[in-house]
Amino acid sequence: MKASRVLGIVILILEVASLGLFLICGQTIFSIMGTATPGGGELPVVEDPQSQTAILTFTFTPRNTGMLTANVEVGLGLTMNDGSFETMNKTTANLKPGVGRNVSLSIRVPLEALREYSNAGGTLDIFTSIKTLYDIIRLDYIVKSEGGN
Amino acid sequence: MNIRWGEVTGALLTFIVLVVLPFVAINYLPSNILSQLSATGLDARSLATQTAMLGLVVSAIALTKAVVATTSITYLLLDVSVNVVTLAFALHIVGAGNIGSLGLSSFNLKQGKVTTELVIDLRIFIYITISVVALSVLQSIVRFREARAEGKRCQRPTRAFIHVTEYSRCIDPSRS
Repeated sequence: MKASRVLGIVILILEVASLGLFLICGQTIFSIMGTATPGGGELPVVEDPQSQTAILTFTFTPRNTGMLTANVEVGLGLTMNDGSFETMNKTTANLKPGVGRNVSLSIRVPLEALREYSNAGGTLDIFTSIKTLYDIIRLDYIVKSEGGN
Repeated sequence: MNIRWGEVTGALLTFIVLVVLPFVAINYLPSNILSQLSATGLDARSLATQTAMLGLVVSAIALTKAVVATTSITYLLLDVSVNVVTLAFALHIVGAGNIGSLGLSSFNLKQGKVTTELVIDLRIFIYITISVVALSVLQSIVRFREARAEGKRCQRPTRAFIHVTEYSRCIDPSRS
């Protein structure tokens, strides 16, 4: 067999494999993205007047309906625009194909910072990072929601 | 002029897929989706136009290749340039119009008080494409050398009968 033909076969195999990998990775990432990313709604806030703090909780429900195992990192944070306060709580879940998980994240915020946030002084940050194919392919989805009316 | 119709068909298909399809697709996209994409910093019309321009270059080179002798240095140069433009095309598509991003794309969308940032890391596919293009360039060179060697072997004989037999095999491979 001619050397050029052998090279042609190798190239074809590489091309088909990379296209297949692209489709499988895309399907895995977008199947998780549909369930893990925040869809809006109210965020439960529990105030503790004694410690002058509030606890904000957000529940992520990532579900992997794709074909590859994925690592899903989710995070919830609050950042003041003037840099006076910043907090972020993150966790990572390893999701095998067909597996879903409920992940609740809480952050403790001083009531003063929460009031400042309500007056458009900061952003509530919701972070989702989906990695698949041994963490080689990645999609980060960050939502920053400003406070105030 | 020796026209290789298989390569002409390939060039025509390339033209349809890379030039005609992007323009047709962009005209079928609803205007609200176009404006949403535009808000993220992705100009879909500009992306389609750039894709079509690259497609036009690829199909023009492919068409020229179809009429150039496979043993000429022009054919080798055209073959290599198709591979280089194909790499630029892949970088353009994976980088969503930004060739310099090398597969690491970022989009921002601000709607009222909510800012959404999307980062997509597809650099592995760029590395695979670079490997494929490097192998394709190597294949072009090898194919060119093979065509030249074949051409030399198949030169018209002048004296010996044994050469006539060999020549007949070159012009009609079914005899071998």
